[in-house]
Order: sequence, then C-alpha cells, then structure tokens
Amino acid sequence: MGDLEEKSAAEKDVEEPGRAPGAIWTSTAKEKEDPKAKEWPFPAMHYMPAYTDDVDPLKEAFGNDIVSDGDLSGKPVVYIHPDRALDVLSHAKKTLGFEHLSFVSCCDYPKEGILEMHWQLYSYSTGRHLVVKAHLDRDGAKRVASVTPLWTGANWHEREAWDLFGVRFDGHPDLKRIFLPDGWRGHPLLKDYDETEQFIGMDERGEDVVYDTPGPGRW
Amino acid sequence: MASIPLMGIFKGMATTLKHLGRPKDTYEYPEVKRGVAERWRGRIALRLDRCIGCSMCAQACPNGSCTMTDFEHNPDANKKGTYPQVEVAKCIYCGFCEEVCPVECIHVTREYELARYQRGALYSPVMLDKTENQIRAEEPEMGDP
Amino acid sequence: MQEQVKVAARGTTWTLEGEGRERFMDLNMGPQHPSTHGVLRLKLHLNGEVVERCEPVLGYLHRAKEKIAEKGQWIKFMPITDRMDYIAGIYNNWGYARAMEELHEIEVPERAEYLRVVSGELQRLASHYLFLGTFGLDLGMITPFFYSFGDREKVLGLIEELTGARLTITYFRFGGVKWDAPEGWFDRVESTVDELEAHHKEMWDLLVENDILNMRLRGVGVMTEEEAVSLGCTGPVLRATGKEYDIRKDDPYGVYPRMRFDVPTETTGDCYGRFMVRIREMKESFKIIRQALREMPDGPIIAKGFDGSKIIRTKPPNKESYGRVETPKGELGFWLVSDNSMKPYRVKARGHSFSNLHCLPLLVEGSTIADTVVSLASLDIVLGDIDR
Ligand code: SF4
Ligand code: SF4
Repeated sequence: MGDLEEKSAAEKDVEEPGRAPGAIWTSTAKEKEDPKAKEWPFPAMHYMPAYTDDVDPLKEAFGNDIVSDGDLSGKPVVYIHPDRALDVLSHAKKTLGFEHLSFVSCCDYPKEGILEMHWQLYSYSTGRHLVVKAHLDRDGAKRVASVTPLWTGANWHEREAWDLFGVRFDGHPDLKRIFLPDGWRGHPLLKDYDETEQFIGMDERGEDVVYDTPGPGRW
Repeated sequence: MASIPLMGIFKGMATTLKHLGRPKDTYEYPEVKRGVAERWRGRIALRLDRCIGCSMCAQACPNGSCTMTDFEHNPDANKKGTYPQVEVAKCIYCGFCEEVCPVECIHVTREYELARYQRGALYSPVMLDKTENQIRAEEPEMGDP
Repeated sequence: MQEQVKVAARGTTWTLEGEGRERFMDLNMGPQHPSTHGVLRLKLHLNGEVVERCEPVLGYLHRAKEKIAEKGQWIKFMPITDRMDYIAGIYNNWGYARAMEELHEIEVPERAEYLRVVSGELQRLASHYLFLGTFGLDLGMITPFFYSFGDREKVLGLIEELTGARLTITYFRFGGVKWDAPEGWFDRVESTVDELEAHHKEMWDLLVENDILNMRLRGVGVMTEEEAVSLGCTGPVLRATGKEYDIRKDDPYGVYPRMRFDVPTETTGDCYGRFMVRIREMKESFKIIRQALREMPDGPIIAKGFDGSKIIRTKPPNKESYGRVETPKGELGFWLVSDNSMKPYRVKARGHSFSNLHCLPLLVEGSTIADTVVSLASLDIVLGDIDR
C-alpha cells in the first residue's frame, strides 16, 4: 500500500506531453488535512441550521413582501408575495450573488388550495443556498413572472412547470409544452389530474396530435 | 501539440499496433457464453416449500409484477394458502422482493436468457420453483413458436 | 420562389425558399438519428449548410417518473432512478439517497460512504469511457470506440461483481448500501485501476495528441463562462469554460472532504475543452479510487433501522429537502417533499443533461450541420435524464 502512495505522488509531477497551451492545471487539492475531516460523522455537513445571513438583507429590502421564512433541511427558505417574484430574485442574483438557478418547479397542495412555486438558488462565490417560494392561488389564473431575463436557463424549467402544473409565466419567450404534445388535456403532476388514457398520432409535418381513442398510427 | 506534423498520427498507429496482440474483449455469443457474477440479479425464483404467505414480496415490488395468488401447496408452512406469482416480462430485477422476504423463499437466480415470442408471461408459483429450461421444455407455447 | 419537396419518409417536408444562393430548408434531425444518442429531435432551419435556428424538441422518452414516484413507497423510486441517467445509474441512486438522508437525518456509516465513493468513481469512469467511445464515433473515428468499450467492460464487470447488475444498479439504500464488497474485490479493483491507467495513457496518445482531432475540435461550439452560468450548465460543460466548480469540492457530501483530488478546468469553452476536462477527470478518478481503497475502514454498511425488510417502511418527517451530487455530467439534484407518510408527496429531479442541452442552440447557431453533431456529442447528454 505504501508504494502506491509514492507512485501516485510521483505521477503528479509528470508533465502531460500533449497538453494544450492555455490549458491550466489547477491544484486545489488540499494537501494540509483539515482536522475536522477525521471526525465521523462530519459535524458541519448534513444538518446545518439554516443561516439567516441572506434572509435578513432580503427582509430589509422588501419588507412586507417577504411573507415568512423557513428551513429546507439546512437551506434557508423565504416565502414571498408572487407579484414581487422577479424583483426579489433579481435582488438575490445581482446583490446577494446567487448566480446559479438549479431549477424552477412547483408543488401542488389541493387541500390548502395553493400551488407552491419553488426557485432553488446557489451562490458560486459564497457556497450558500437560498430557496425562494411563493404561493399561487391554485384555482385562479396561476400567473407568475418569468425569470428568463435573469437566467436564460430558466426557459426550459418554466416550460416544464407549465407542462406539468399549468403555471403561466409572464414574459416567457416561448411558453409551450415541453414533454407532452400540444393539445394534451390536463397537467399531469396536479394531484387531481384525470388519468384516462390519451393517444398520440402524427400529422403530415411530423407534429404530434392527441386523440381520445386508439387507432392506426396512434399509441 | 506535436510540433512535428503527423507525429500524433504515428503515435496513434503505435497504440493500435500494441492492441493487436491483446486478448479479445468480445465473445461469440450463442456459442460462448459470458459467465455472470455471483450476485447477478436474473429471473425470480421461489423455494416453494418455505413460503409462509406473508406477502412482503408483493408489498415491496415497485411495479406490481409480483402479486399474491391463491394456491394450495404446503399448508403447514403457509396457512393462508397464498403464494407469489411474478410477471417476468414486467419485472425490473431490482431484487427488493428477495431483500424483504423473511424466510429466503423468493430469490433471484442467475438465469438471464429470458427472451420470449410473447409478452406477459405470468409465472405461477409452481413455475417459479423450476429452472427456465424446465419451464421451456414443459410449456413450449410460452417459449419458441 | 417557393417549392415543396415531399420526401418519401413519413412526416418530413422540406421547404426550399429564397433566391439565388440563399436556400432555406427546414430539417428534422432525429428522433431516430445515430448522433443524438437517444430520441432527441432537433428542428434545424438551414441556410445552405449553415444552421440558422436550432430548436430541440423533447419528450420522446418521457416516462412520467415524478408521477410514478408519488404512487409507491419511498424506496420504490430507487430502482426507477436508475433508469434516468442509465449511463451512470449509481449517481442517480446517490442523489436520491442524499436527499433522503438530509430529509430524514440519517447518519450513514463510514464504510458505506467509502463503498459509495469507490463504486461511484468506477461509475464515473464507465460513463467517461462511453463518452470517449461515442465521441470518437460521432467524429468518424471508430478505433477509440473499441478500446474504450473494452475498458468500460472491465469497469462494468467490477460493478457487476459488487452490485449484481451492470446498468440498472439499485445499489444504494437510504442510510447505506446494499452489499459489502465480495471476497477479493478490492484487490481486483486495484489491479484493474492500474491496468486502466496504463490504457488511459494510450488513449491520451491516440486522442489528445492526434492533430486531426485537435484541429477538428478547436473553436467549435464556443461558450463563455457567463453564458454557461446563466444557462445553468454544470459539470464538464461548465468547467470547460474556466469556472472551477465541482460539488464534490464546493458542497461536499459523503467522505469527499477527505479525498485529495484536483478539479480539471479548461479556459477555451469549446468542444476541445469539454473533451479535455473529461479525459483529465478520469485521472482524478483513479486517484480517488486508490485513496479510498487505502483508507477503507471496517464497520457496518447501512444505518440501523433501514436494512432488510425495513426498507419499505421509511417514514420521513413532514419536511422538504434538496440533495444534489456531482455526476459525470453535472449537477443532479432531488427535491423531496414529505407529508409524514410512507409515500413521497412530491419528487422533483433536477437533471444535469436537461440543463446542459439547453445551451445547444447557442453553440450551433451559425455553424454547419457537421459541427452541430460534434457540439451535441461534446455535451455528453443522455436522453433518459432529459425526458425523465
Ligand atoms: S425483482 Fe423487483 S420488480 Fe421483480 S418481482 Fe422482485 S420486487 Fe418485483
Ligand atoms: S415469498 Fe417470502 S416474502 Fe413472499 S409471501 Fe412467501 S415468505 Fe413472504
């Protein structure tokens, strides 16, 4: 086992012959060992309490539009008023540095009559998470502002939320179904979705058409 | 980048030449069969005498391919008279049924050549007690046309 | 001037319009196209051979996994996650298990975490071998395909010995893993890693030093760091633009804080960069596997109360969690919502390929069809994860 360690250390110094100019070899490997890393289980790993450093400035900036805050297994959550979604998220991105939007999605609570929007953010510079949530009226118009002006990557996530939950995103460049074909009845991830079968066929241009009954060329 | 033009091509050729003498990685399948690992999760089978009819396997099955059926076999062990039956074409070989069985009755075997001309082969408890070759010999309509 | 050309193939109509040298054409690439690695359909609007607009059309492999998850007990979604990114099934298990462990506050035994690291890094190698092989194939080189699949076969053999399956692995359980390593498995892993490392050097000679490959890949499908961050790209696609970000380092889980490895990055942001990041990452995987084997502790492999027949009785508290892991292709996360019952209330999978594929129109618009194939291959997408 001992010589294995030497071998890999020696290999590290070998210059790669065909290495491209401009390609950098990063050396982030922490050779000095963190004493904490020897403990088991790691104290600070899984179940950190939610840090409020990012929630407080948001509360200051938006006052009553931050409805409440909470904790998502160690990640801070703020509940906001849906009309201010774009402002809060743009503040979170531009001022607080949450550059990475993991996903946009929803969760349906028919008993409470709400549809919960969920934006999962992460900051590359500070390594912190932030979850922004907003409650939409489940039986109402289900409209919320699109965050595509802030993150281009939100485009497909919002199309997915429209497809599976029926949330309309104002200002989205091209809001249409992403997985299911146009013309599909219902939004499948709603808890009261009607699960009767629907059949898909194809028209002359290769676009999908939805039928209620089976037939040749439909499945 | 190699400063001498075509140097990389020659290096690549040398690598290819090195590979010439190496043993083959492939098998001529129907004649030579690749052995599978000890823990391979293949077709589900049953040790019929042991089953106590607790229906744990049917509860753990993710897609409902394992269900309970009424069947008389060994009333001493299985007082309820229910045994599992498995829809082998639907089974996803997750091994959960084996994991939850309290008496090591339902288990995975290492048989993996399960191709059939018909879908929806439902294996009764008796068939689950046999090997695949026995089943094919006894019930040819389920196997080859 | 407008003429319509009906082609015999069903559902394909080519519309040619425009005067003189400007010839516009709508072309469907896929869903059955060998270079799309699955059933992806690209609607291309062409001007001659230049792609003017590219629109990926998804949903041909949609299996409604998030709906399926709500129908059964928590553990019953574990084998279903295998079928999402079927090239690297272990990581899907890991993402789901990590989210559950944060939700339920399960403490995973140390040996289980080491086994997870070894099996996971083996899976990363297998995934990158598949990338190298098919990437060469998409460029028109058939030789690397055979060599890398030969090596991948060895890795899959090890995974098969450990878990009993090659692709749909279902190895992880909440709070640990299913199997301990079989007799002599660690020695076999060690000797295989030595062998693979020697082969990796040959692969390096064959691919990285190949002038034709270099010329083909440089400057194709360029993306800047800002664009990649804004698009939500992760994994090698992001690291190829110069952003040094790896969840194993920056938001570590399991025993990764103890592992010593580098995060390879490139600054070019083109197909060459993405290819180089992956081939260099494989060397780090060899390092991690060796270290994990050296430090492998003894002990239990699954937390108390989550083994045997108790796997189907998991009942987490009324909470939510988001757990994510660094897969060979990027960030894979699971958002779980529990209502204190035995079934999930909501499971959302944040797919790595789903976000990575989104940059394709940016990469290919303005380039030729031949470059579209290369750009698509360099993203290393897997459709099972995109459509879910
Ligand atoms: S292996 Fe899995 S899918 Fe097959 S019968 Fe057993 S529990 Fe059901
Ligand atoms: S096979 Fe095992 S788990 Fe299934 S009913 Fe019989 S004893 Fe119970």
